[in-house]
Parts: sequence; structure tokens; C-alpha cells
Amino acid sequence: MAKVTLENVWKIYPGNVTAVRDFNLDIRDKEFIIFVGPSGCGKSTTLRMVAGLEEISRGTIRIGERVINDVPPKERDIAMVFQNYALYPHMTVYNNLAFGLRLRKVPRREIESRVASAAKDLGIADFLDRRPTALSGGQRQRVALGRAIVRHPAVFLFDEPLSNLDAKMRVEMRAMLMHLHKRLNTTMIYVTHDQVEAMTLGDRIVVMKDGLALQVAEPLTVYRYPADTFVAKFIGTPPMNLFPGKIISNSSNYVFDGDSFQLHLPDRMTKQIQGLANREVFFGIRPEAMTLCEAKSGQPGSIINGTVDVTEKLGNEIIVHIVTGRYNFQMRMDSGLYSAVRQDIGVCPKMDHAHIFDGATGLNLTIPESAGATAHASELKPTDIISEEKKE
Amino acid sequence: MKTRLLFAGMYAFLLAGAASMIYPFMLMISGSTKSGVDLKYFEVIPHFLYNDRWLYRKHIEALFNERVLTENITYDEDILDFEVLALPERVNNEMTDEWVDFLKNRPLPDYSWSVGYMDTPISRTQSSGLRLLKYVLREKFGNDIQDINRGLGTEFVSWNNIVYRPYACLMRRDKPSGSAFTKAVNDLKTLLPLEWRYYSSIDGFYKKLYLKSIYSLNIANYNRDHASAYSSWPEVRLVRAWRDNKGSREKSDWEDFVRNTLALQWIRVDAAALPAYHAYLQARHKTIAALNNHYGAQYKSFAEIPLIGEPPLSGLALSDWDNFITGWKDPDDGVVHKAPIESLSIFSVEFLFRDYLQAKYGTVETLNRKLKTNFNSFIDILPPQRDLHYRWFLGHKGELRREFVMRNYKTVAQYMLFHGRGIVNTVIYCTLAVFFALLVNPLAAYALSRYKMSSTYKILLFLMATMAFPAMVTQIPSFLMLRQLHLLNTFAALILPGMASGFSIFLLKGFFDSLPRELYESAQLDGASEWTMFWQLTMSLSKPILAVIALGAFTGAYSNFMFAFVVCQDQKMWTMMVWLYQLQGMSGRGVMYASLIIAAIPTFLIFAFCQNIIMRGIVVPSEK
Repeated sequence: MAKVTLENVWKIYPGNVTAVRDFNLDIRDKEFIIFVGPSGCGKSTTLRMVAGLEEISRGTIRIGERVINDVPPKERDIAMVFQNYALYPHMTVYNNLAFGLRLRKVPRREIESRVASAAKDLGIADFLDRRPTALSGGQRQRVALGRAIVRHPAVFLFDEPLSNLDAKMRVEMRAMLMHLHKRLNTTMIYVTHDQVEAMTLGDRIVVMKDGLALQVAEPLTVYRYPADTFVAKFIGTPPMNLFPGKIISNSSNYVFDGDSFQLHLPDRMTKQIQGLANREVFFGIRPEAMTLCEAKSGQPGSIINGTVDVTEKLGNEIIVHIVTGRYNFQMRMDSGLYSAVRQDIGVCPKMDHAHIFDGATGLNLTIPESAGATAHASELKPTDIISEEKKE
Repeated sequence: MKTRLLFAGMYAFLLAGAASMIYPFMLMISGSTKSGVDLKYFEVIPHFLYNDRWLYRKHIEALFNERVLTENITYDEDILDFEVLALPERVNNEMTDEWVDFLKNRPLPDYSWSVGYMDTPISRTQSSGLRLLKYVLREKFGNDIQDINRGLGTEFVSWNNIVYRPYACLMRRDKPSGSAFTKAVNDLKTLLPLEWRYYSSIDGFYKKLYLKSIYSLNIANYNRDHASAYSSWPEVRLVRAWRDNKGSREKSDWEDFVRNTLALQWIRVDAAALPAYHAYLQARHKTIAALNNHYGAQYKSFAEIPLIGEPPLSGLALSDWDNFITGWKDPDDGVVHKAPIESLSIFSVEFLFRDYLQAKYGTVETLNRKLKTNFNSFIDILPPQRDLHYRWFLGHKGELRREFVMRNYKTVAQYMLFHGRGIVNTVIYCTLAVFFALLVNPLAAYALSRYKMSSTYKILLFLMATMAFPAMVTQIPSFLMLRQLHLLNTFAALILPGMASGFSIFLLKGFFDSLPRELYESAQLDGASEWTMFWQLTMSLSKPILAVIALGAFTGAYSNFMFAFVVCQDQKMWTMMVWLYQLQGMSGRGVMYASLIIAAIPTFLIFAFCQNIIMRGIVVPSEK
């Protein structure tokens, strides 16, 4: 039961390879927080710094009120589950679970009862005598979970625990993890590159890229208001459609000029895009935030005309790949509307869900303050980092 | 189809490889059963195991203590090698029984016979007779070789040096030994089977070493010189005495043989020679007082001195007697004194046996009828030693095969038991070598694998470089270093130089590197100390590779000969390999093979054991 605080945390490897830059985060007690991002974004490194497996180059990490920068891993009161399970292959499941407790000199009876209860919770009570080699991937990961649980740690750390499992097992384990979090009521930090896991599991998610935390917010907020083009592309399948273009200031309002089409921007954006006329921007719209509309009947300035490239029929919905001008985009719609799809197609974006991103920085210009976008650190040039490093 | 052919080819190749390993090994095993007679043959299954002729050859060879001349004399034949022996066509059981009865009823002097399975000058191993002798001596004197030397007046350096060279009392210079050791052996001889004995044949000796060396092996040459008509050598007989006065070539042969060549033990002089003997003694000693003084006797006059029957073993009486038989020229008056030829007769086992038969059967005809033989006269009868030997052979083939298969192994085993310190040293050395190899190498490899220093690669390169030098190159520097450290003749000298192995460290580092990093991180979070991670995690997971390291350390230590010999020159520190090398120096090829096979057994067992671990090998379930 502890909150975890990361203040201006940096990780710089020898040779000035910066893995994590100026990471700030307050993880609330009992929160299930997800670090998500593509590989190499520094999410695992951050987690490992919390675990004590990596040194913290700069900044402070606290668990509870205690600064743990120089506390050895075993005294941080944490437990970690690894992607490849990291079970001790030469020990039985029981011994795997009991190993950590034995090293901590927990009384034997206590060990037995803790192992038994964890095994029961995780459904691994039947193969306590087996070795990990004799188990399936899902069973192994449950054993790895059990090894963490029996320790009763203040913070659980998960490093892509489901990545080695097949799709079906992943769904099962996801449900189990949610259930576990509810029951254990403990702070959990979970690292994944899978946005589905991030969306489904987390109380809050931290989207990371190149060592930077781009956005920290609840899953739906991140989905609805991505902090920049990267987040917009990374979260959601298919990703948000981004059309490059310009903003044209009309007499009465603003228009997005997408080369092959023009769209009237809604009034709510006026304040945020004032003075951006003629700037290169991206117009962003989620595939499901579009409707079919007749090519002719739509008002000019609210329709994108294109031709259908391919159609993915997923069952309850279909994804239509549309080409307009030089750009491709996707639209998601109810499969009942499939019969209405023609070769030449007109699409009307729901402008309530539209976003304008800065063409140079990629920042979302139309995001509300509460959406958890961090101070974008892209201004930190690599040269700055090196010079700062040298001052030390 | 192509794949199948490829597989077939691979299997064929593997089988050929296996055969090329097994075949030499089989030859080694087969070679370990060899004796002089079949030493030059290389076969997978030794002939004597299924072929009686070869077994018989080995038996006869061992029976005559690997001396083909003795066989020729005893059997009255001319073979150059035991290899040409054929199985006798038949055994005359009645005659053989007579011979056995004769041997049992008529005590013969010790020097008239020898016993087989005692000496192996060609095979250089230990036959069952010698093993029994050692056993008897141990029972009597205990384990200390010095007790034997004191008790028997011998000078054996060790139990392995105890040899018994059977002698035949045939030539004039051959004198029966009266030593305590000979007496002990003579006691033992009576314990061994009667069928292992061979009796000196004066008849055979006369022909083999006297007549044939003068007249060649060709009987025609003999016939020409003697105007005789023998069809083969066995027809020629040594007569007991020469009573007629006619001179002939045969007579002069006989006289020369008896006077100059034959051992005195086999010559008797009858009373007719007494005057000549007294005259001879008087001429030689002048006064009876002088003779008494020399002989340590109390004769009143020369006439009182009796003839000698069985000659004494030493002393002036013996040399006087010898001179009387040979002939002695008085330097004062030039008169030659010698026993008259008419008084000389041969007293040999053959004649005793013939007398025995004659007393029993009276005439040759009766004998021929009763014993189903076909002799013309008693002098044609030779003791049926070959029949007796063969009869025993027929009843003991299994026993003999076992003896020849096991003999060399027993020799090696006994040798090693007598040098028990060698085994103890080897056990200690191997145990320590394995222990330290399993401690030092993994620790070094663990450090290199877990803590990546910038110089890790250079250290590894340095370790690899040690593999570039053959062990021979470092031997002398190692020796000098150990000498400076005053560690020679200690186990430290054996173990220290080979304790850390560049190759092992390299191998182990590679293996440790392959263990998932998460295991260590997980253990770290579980609260494991570095030692726990090393011991409970790394070492437990590395059993297969550790087995390889241990096996390497064991075989290295076990087969270490040269270095062990160089740094531990004190016999007390010699390892088994050094002792085996000594054994090989004084043994035949069969023993050498046997010693190599025995030496290979521990390695083989250890390998089989380790193989099990490697097969069981733990697969690290890191990736799915």
C-alpha cells in the first residue's frame, strides 16, 4: 500500500545514450498504472529503476515517503513479474513460490499458508510439485504471478507479462490481472507495448516515446484527446486518421484545406487555432467518427470524397480503406451499412471529435487542459542533454 | 529420396566411426590375453578361446615356463617355437597311470623336476604358480617384504620383484641351490598339481644339446659318422653304461658326455672304481691328514673313504669328485687319474622309471600286452610326460582359458594392490582436482559473466591464450616455480598448475551468459545474496556443463603421467599412472594392454555417470 513518486528522473547510459528523460509521475496508492509505448521508449527502463535493477542517473524515486534511490532491490518492498517468467527452472513450483520467503526467513508455516492461498487464487494448486518445464506458458506466468503475490509487496511491477502468451491466453490473463488488482488492492505498475492491454487494464496510462512521457491520463481521455500525433497514432486500432494540410482563415470561420478536400472547422476550436492561418497542421479524426454521406447532397466544406481501396469485414463492423488525393484513410462503420458502400464514396467527419495537430511539433492544438498532456519535451535538443551532462 | 539417402549415408558414417572405435578396443582386450606364443597375432577374438590347439600351445608354453628348449629336451623333439605344436593324437592312459604311480611311489630328488606356470620370460606377467608362491609367502611371512628377505635370505626390492627362475640340473655347471628360498619354492612345488611338473630328461638332453650340436639335426649325418641306420633321432638312445671294451664312436660320444658335460647328480660310479678313487685321492692330497683337514673328516686311511653317490653341493669333496670323473693329471708324475669307463653309469629318471617297469612286468612283452604299447626293449621307454600333460589339459580347458584371460589382469591388479599408496594418491589427487576445478573455474566465469568490465574481453583473450601453449611447454617452468615454492612432492604441486583452466572458464562464461538475466533480477528482488545466486541458481542450472568440466578435470588428473612424475618424484607420492608406467617397463605387451584397460575403467565409469546427467540436462524454460 504505497504511492510511488518519480521526480525528474533521468536514465543516461554510458556513452550518453539517454533512455529516460525528465520523467515526472505521481502514482497514487492502489493505482493500476500502465506504461505504454513502442519498444525502446524507456518504459521498461523506468520500471526497472523503480525495481532497483537499474541505477537512477538523476532525479528521485520515492515509494511511500521513502527515497529509494540507494535502497537495494530486496529492501524496496516490491515484486516483479517478467516477460519470460524468470522462473527458477530447477525448482518445483512450490519452491519457486517459497524461494523468496525462505530467503527472508519467513517461518515455514507462514510460507506454507501463503503459498497455498496464492496457489488457490491462481489455480496452480494442482501442480505445485511440478517443474516449470512441465507447464504451459499461461501456467508459468501464473506461477510467476504467484511468486510476486506471496511476498505481499507494497508495489507490484509487471514487465510485459503477457507478451509471450497466445491471444486467447492473454485475454484470460488480462481478466485475471484485473480481478487480482481489485482483490489485492495494491499499487501496480504495468509495462506493455500493447495498447489494448493499456486501455483495458489501467486506471491511468502513461504513453511514452523516446524516453519521454507524452501523456498521463485515464485510458478514455487518452483515446479521446491524444496529446500529439504520436499518441493519436499509437492508441486505437485502426489509428486516428491524420490529414496534412493548412488552416485557411475565412471571413467568418476557419477552414482546413486538405488539398483534395476542404472542411469547415467548428467554432469550439476558434480560440485555440487563432493566428494559425497558413500554418502546416494535421487534421485528425478517429475512423469511427465519420459517417457515410452522399457525395452530392453534403454541404461543401464538410465532406471528404474518395474511392474505396479495400474493405475489411470484421463481423460486427467493417473497416473501409479509402483513398483521397494522395492520402489513405480508414473509416469504421457498422457492418449493417455495408450495402451502402460504393466505389466512389463521400465521408462526413463528426467535427465534435476532430483534432488539429501542429504540423511541426505534432502537438494537439485542440486538447482540453485536463487531458494530462505533459510539457512536451521535444524542445530538449540532444545537444542540451550532452552539455548538461558535462557540467556534472 | 535424397533426404533418405543422406540419412542412410550419415548413419553408415556413424556406424563406420563406431566400428573404427570399437575394433581397436577389441584388439586391446584381445591383446590383453596374449602370451609369447600368440603375441604376434592380432584378432578380435583370441584363438585360444575357441581353438583347443592354441589353448594347448599356450598351456605347454606356460608349463615349460616359456622355454622351448626345455620342452624339446623333455619331449625329445625339435621345435623352434611353441606355435608349431599340434595336439597329441592319443593318450596312453595305462602307461600314463604307471608314470603317475611311479612318481607317487618313488621319491625323486627336488632337482630332478621343475614345475610350470612359474616363470614368464617372454610374456613377462605372473602365472598362477607364481601367484600361489606369493600367496604362500604372504601367509607365512606377512606383508612386509623385508620379513621375507630376512626369512629366506633374499634381496627382493618389492613383492613385484619376486621371481622364481626354474632351473634344470643338466650341465656340469648346474648345481642345485640349497638356499632357503629354493627350499620354500620346493615346498610349494609339491602343492601344485603333479601334472604341472616336468622331469629332466637326460636322454633328451644328451640328444638335444650334445649329439645334435655335434652331428646336426640331420640323422643321416649321425648315421654316416657312426655307421648306424637310425631312421629318426628318437630312435637314438642314451645307454645307461658302457661295459664292453670295444672302442666306437658311440662309446666315445657317451664317455665325453658323461665325463665332461653331464651334471654329477646323474652319474653314479660303481665299486670297481674304488681302487682308482683311493689312488686319485692319495695323489691329490698326499696324506690322509691333509684330506681330513680339507674335508673336515676323520678318516684313518685312504682305503676307508667310500665312493660318492649323490654328490655334495659344494666344497673340495665336490671338486675332487668332479675331477675324478673328468680325469685329473697329477702334475708331479704326469699320471692321469680318472674313474674307469666301465664303472660309470647314468642315474636318471628315465632309468629309474624303466627299472620300475621292469620290476613290475619282468619282460617287455608282458609290458606291451598290459599297457598296449609296442616297445622293443625297456630302453625305448620314455616317461610319458607329454601324455600326462595333455591328459590334464583335456580335463581343465575351461580353467586354462580363465587363467589366460585373467592372468594379465591379475598381474596388474596385484601390482596395484601392492602399491596401494598409488591408488590412494590417485583418488586424493582426482578428488581435489575435480573439487577445485568446480570451484575456481565457475567463480571466475561467474565474475566475468555477471559483471561486465570494460576489460572483460581482454581477460577472456588472455585466458584463451593459455590454451595456445601445449602442456609440455609449461612443464619445466611449472616445475621450477613449484620448486621455489617448496611444493614439490605435495598434492599442491599436482593440483595448483591445472586448477584454473582457460578453456573451462571460457566454456562456463558462455554458458552463464546464456542464462536469462531476468533469473538473476528475479532472485535479486526475492532477496538473494550474490552467493545464493551463484550457488543455488547458476551452479544448479549448470549441472550438465559442470559435469563436462568435472569430467575434464578428472581425466586430466587421472591420466596425468608426465607432470605427476616430474613434480612428485618421491615414490610415496607416485600416482597410479606413474606406477603403471613402471609396470609397463617390466612387463610384456599383454600386461601392458591389461593395465591400460584397467586404467580406463574409472574414466569409463565416470563418463557413463556424467552422460546420465548430460542426458537429463535441464532445459532452461526461458522462452516459449
